[in-house]
Amino acid sequence: MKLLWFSFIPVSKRVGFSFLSALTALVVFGALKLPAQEDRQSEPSTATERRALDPLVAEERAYAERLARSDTQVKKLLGETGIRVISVEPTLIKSESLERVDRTARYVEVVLFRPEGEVGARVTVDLGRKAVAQVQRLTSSQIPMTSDDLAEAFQLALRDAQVQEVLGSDAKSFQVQGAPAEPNPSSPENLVTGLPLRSTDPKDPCAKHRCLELLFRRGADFLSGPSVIADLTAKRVYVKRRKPQ
Amino acid sequence: MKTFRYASLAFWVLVLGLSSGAAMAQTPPPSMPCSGANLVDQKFPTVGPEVTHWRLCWQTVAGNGLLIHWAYFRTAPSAPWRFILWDGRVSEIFVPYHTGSPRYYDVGFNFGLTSIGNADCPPNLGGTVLAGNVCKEVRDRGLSWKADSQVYRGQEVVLWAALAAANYNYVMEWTFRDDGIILGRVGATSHNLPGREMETHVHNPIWRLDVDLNGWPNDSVALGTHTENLPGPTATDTEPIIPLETGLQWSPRAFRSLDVSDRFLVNGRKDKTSYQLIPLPTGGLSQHQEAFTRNDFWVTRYNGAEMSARDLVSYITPPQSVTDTDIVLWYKGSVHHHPRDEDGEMVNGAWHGVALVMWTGFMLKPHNLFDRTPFYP
Repeated sequence: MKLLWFSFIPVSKRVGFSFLSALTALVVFGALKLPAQEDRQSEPSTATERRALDPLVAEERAYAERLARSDTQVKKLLGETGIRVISVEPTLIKSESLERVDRTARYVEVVLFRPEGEVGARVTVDLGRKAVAQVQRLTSSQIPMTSDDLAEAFQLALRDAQVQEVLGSDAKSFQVQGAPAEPNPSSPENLVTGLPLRSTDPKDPCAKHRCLELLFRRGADFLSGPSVIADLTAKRVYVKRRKPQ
Repeated sequence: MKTFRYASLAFWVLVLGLSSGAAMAQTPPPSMPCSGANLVDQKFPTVGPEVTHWRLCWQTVAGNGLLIHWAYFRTAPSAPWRFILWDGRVSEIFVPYHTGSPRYYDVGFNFGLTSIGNADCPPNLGGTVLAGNVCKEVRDRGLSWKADSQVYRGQEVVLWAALAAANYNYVMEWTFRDDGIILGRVGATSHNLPGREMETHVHNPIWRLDVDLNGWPNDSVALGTHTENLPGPTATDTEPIIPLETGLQWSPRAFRSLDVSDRFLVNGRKDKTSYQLIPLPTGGLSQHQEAFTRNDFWVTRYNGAEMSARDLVSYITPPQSVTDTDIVLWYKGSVHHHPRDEDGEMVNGAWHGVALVMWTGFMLKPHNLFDRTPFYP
């Protein structure tokens, strides 16, 4: 019944009605046009589709690592035992132009390191093809240190009498900062962390070796002790008293 | 009564018509290599009809921290999406102390990110915590322009995370403004170095910026330089193309910038479009004994294996052509940290206190991307 009142529009108001009709047509046209536009969009058809840089799930991570370790070229480069996993991250492969990049291809960059001989590899794994796409040899200086290096450095340091003296009776209670987990500043626990360093003095072993300076934290505060540098290549620890500032 | 009905109907038809018309004019969003929380899609202004729009991906990686991928910008709803950045990251943070030792490489350890909560990233101030360690803030950025009684306040979307690098935290911040500008900053904060709490040092973040204006290849880089023709009142600006891979020094008096352009990209007025890398130093930029710190800018040809700033000298040896190709920019900022009493104090053999955030960064500024700013009526 409500629609009937349109029939009784006075002639004097028909101009206004014509205007309304035109606008209505515009709405209908717009509504019809929208689906066609959506078809042209290149967004994924489903919200659940995995994209190239979406974070890896545990299965993808494990599978990529397994493929990398079992690759013939990697085995030749690093051997099969004593290999550390440094990182496993999704990556995007750049092709010759933007238009040709596959936004859904799941590639994973696996960085491996063998401490014995200090050699590493950056392995690009194509999860879709279940194959290794590329292997790049890395030198010692190109391999980031991890909590494994930190744990090794701390074990070396604990053998040093000066370090034991600084840390006191609870030296062994210090926990190694785990990467990528972060320290909790409010935690009362003792924590050991470290910073990679490289000397410019050619006589200093740390000009070439993998060296890490250890820092000790009790709760929120750091101990202001001597400099404790672990040379992971030579398996030695250097403890230096600080010069007065 | 009838007149009121007609007016009411006309109003709603007009609203619907305009909204569907606006939808018709929009260019479809580009397909992205990320989804969910890793995709940032932000229109400006945040309320009302869209003027500009960013669409980009972020990723966190141990060591490098917060990375930006695939930044697209649209200057108007009906304008094409422009590809700006394939990858932006902090490649290294080099920290030499004044006595010559130690000399730290803070990205040389796979440090993780600190956790982030509502105290870092308050929802009532436009913050959203992403994945527990990244903060996205959509916020007012102050004056965009003012002309006597007319004024416009700008907006921006900011992503930041903090690298837990032993005694330090490095805040890695990426800002995408409504006017197309990208800002990158690193802020050093937390605890001074144990045992050397009062020794001056410099934190040098080195960014690797894979700028791909309008995609790739076909990009070139020009060196923007301002010269005062002294003695005399005139000045000259030059922008010679950089032909080969090289390292360059920034000069504050010369307003030096690296200007990236695409061979085919012009705006609606047929003027060549570029993005300019402009340093935003806080106090200055340092150089050290290490060769990779002797330049503030580097321009290299894209190579997926070249990601480490400390190897920059080898990347440009021998130098390859960087014209009409796929280029990468590198920029070194510096935070000169002269410790002060505000940083803390020694309490029972332990350092108690915190160094307030000290920033350094850069700007990537569009030049002739718009025909004119759309934020002026």
